[in-house]
Amino acid sequence: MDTASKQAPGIDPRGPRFGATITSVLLLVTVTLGLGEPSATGSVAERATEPAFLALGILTALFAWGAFAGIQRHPYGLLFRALIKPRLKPPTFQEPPEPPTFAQLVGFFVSAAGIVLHLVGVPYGLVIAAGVAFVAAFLNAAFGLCLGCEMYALLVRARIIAHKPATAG
Amino acid sequence: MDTTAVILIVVSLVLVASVVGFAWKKSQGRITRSTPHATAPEVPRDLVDSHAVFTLLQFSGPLCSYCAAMRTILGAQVEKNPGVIAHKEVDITDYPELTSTLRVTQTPTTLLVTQGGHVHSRIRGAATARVVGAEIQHALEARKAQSDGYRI
Repeated sequence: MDTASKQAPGIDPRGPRFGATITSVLLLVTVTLGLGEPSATGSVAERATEPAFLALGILTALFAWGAFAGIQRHPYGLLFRALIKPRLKPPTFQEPPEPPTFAQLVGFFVSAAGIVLHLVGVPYGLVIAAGVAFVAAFLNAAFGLCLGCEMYALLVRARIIAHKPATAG
Repeated sequence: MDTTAVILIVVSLVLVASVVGFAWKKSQGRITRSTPHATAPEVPRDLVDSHAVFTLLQFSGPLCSYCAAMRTILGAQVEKNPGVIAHKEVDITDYPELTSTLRVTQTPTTLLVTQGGHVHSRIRGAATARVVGAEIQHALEARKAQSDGYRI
């Protein structure tokens, strides 16, 4: 990661897609659990111990991990490198790590919004947030369309955020 | 909420996401051909390879994951058609004015440009090698038909 070249070293694009597959399954489970208890009634403590809330809580933490530690250090990334990558052919192309890392940040905000809405007691808040996150994760897993990455590229091109390649020093 | 309703909602969520995904997939690598009426060349001279019959002009972005895939596919076409097809890749951020004049709205966008700087066709998004190869063949045949027409 200390190359002085213009382009930071790329990552295998199948890594984030592998992670998105696990995430989309977990999000769909969360939606299913959330639909069983959608109205967000009961005390805050009761709401905070519902299975859907706990599931989305874990997913929010995982998104935070990817967003703040970087997609390469995400547990799914480590799992991919240890178990899946050795069984695959080398990738035909690599992608920069910043867009999928930003996508994790978007996922973090969406799922955190679901957590907050549920704690405040907004009916269907958790289910809708998990559903939105599911659609994004599913599109990445099944079709290779990473909405968060597209968003990042657009924001950089519009010069709303500055692109900082992951180079040390 | 009863189980049937839950299953219905979950299944339709997956269905809706799939429809969006297939629509996006279909939009990738879509080709539109230009009508050959433009008089002034649309593409700046320095972006066209003057020695090749057609230039594959690829617009990439700094953070576009499929641009690298497209680069490999277009490079293979150059090897297949030596001296006939050239490949040039430019970063769209270096040519912001071209986003409007050449209507480049996404990366990668690939323009198949004639020697004279006219856009023959445009490929939006990532395309397969087969689609790109077929479009090149079509362009070469159209050009041949045109020059035959002049001869008659």
